[in-house]
Amino acid sequence: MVIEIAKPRPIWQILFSTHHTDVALLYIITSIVFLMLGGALALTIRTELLFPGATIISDPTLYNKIFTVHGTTMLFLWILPFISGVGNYLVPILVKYKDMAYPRLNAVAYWMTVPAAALIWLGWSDTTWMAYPPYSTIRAPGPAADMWIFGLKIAGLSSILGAINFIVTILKCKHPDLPLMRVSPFVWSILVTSLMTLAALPTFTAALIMLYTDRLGVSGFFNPEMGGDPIAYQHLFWFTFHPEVYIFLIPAVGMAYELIPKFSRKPIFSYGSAVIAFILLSIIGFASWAHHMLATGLSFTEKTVFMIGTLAAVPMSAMHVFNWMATMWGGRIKFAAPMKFVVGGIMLFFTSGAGGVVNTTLPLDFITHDTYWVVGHFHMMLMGTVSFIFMGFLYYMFPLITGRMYSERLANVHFWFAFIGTIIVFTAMHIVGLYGMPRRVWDYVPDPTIITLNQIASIGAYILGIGMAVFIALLIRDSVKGKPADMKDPFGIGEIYYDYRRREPHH
Amino acid sequence: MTIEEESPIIRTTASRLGKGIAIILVVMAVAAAIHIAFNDVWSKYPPMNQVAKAGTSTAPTTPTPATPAVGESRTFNLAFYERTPTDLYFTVDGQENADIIVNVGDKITINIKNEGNMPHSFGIVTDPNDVNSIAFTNANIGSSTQFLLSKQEGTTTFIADKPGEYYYICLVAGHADLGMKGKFIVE
Repeated sequence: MVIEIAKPRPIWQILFSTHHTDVALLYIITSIVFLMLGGALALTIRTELLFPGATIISDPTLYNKIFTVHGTTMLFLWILPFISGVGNYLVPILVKYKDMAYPRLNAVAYWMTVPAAALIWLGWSDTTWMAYPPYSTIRAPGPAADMWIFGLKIAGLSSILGAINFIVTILKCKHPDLPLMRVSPFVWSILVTSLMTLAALPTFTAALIMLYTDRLGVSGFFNPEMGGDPIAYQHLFWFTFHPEVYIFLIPAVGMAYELIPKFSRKPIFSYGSAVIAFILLSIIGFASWAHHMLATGLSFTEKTVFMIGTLAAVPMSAMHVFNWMATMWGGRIKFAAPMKFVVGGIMLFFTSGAGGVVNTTLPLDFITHDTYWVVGHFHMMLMGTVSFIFMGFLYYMFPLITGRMYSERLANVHFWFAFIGTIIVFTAMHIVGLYGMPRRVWDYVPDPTIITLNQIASIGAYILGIGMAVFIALLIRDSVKGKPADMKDPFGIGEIYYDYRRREPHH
Repeated sequence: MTIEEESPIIRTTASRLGKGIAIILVVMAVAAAIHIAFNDVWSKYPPMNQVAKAGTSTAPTTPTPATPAVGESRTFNLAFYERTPTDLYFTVDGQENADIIVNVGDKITINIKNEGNMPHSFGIVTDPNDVNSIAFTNANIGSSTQFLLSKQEGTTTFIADKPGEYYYICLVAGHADLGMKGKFIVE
């Protein structure tokens, strides 16, 4: 599935290599496998909700397990490994260094995702991916919940190792003739997210240890009987995971900066504003965690501060969007698959961004809190924007990875099914949330409106599922059957492609 | 001369891709086999803090009452069962939700076992829709906040000192509605 230079190496050599392109491939392939597995769980969930009452899942606890594994998989085994994969492949190329700064550490970081995935997928915890106490500390059955805790711990450690590696590679190993203000915005996005990872993740790591010792009964951090406070967990959790939302988003934004100028055949409109927006967004990302907790009885002052902190991210997001639009404006745009996915992703970014403004506005938050509106909102962001740009970027890297061109026709089918499916399923979720359907439910009130909206959402999910099936079929078929690509200019947009000779291992 | 002529590249063949996919599928199959083989283990144990509590707790078993019995001693063996998570019932000496009929002053011993997967607790109330309308305080096994976990057993002894028609129910919120209730009649 990958090109080799000079002579093909045995697969085990690629598996246990420390070369940055090999580690990157492992990350990317792992992430695609888990995207498909997580997607299968999503379709199971939507099929269960096609009709009220028990349909295909007889046991509500099993339903809880399915959406827990779905959420954990999509966030920690699809989005994060994919970012690491693309970062590993491109950051050394873009900063003109021979490899990552610590190649072995890099391989270790990858191999830590494997036990993490095994723990999450073997146990099937039913805690939801947030694992809020008191359920997670006094009821969630073990060893599944304990395995989930350790799985996430290992995944977190892997992220931290990866972040250290990226920071050192970018800041210390960059070619001396390449100033930091001239590197690709994608490198900036990886630098900023790595710094955010280092700042945000230790809190969740601590929270996981506290959760585990609480489950053992030796501490009571989140147990009111022992003087603890369940809400404290939510603060610790969201202090990590609201910045994590930006850790998911910013690399996608960086990828969009990599694609839009090339496919518009114009230089980027404003490099400086892109970098400033990255930096500001990474700081503001830490000022909004409690907007997930506006319904937990915070004081009016606290709520107002976090509402404003959240809204403060809007100008930075808008800076990126206007930058993209100004870059595209007047350009000779070539709508190949990567560009289609990026433009589609930007369109859906408006919807999810607007939904976010609604969620954080105090009076409206109490209407939407814990309803399907929220599910629709963050899926619109993570599927509609982040995953769309990721999939587009995978199409862009396809010739670099395989030496072959993908089928533009099938990619087009994938795009339209995914785009239309995404709009239908997540818009319907927004609306059914406003009708009062709570999230994380296995059954719902057999009200005609709620039934219809759930069925629309499920049909949208099936359309999206068809698109994703086309995607995986395309990836498998075209990596052996695709036409050999012109390695200098596979997309016919000028000779600005990455140098494939990187694949030659030097150690 | 193109760059490809300078550094020739070898593109993947179908057999190599097949090997790659086979590796992924084998790993997934092994993981699935482990998951299925230990299917009953992954969610078997409550958190350690609950195990510790259940071991030392006083709640599930109520001490013998001080008032002397005037009637005969009667023993009933009950169990909590779940047909589905939304269809629950008791058995009384093997009979589903059977009426328990006793005489005033009888000394009643209830032995109960949780044969379901969910936590349950036992109590006798005057109103089956209100878990707080406890009729005989000493009849409780557990409470609405402290439960018998799956496979745990409890026992209690009390005197049926007030005549009337009562209900024995599961004190966990909602369980009585889902079928865990029966009549307890003191004649």
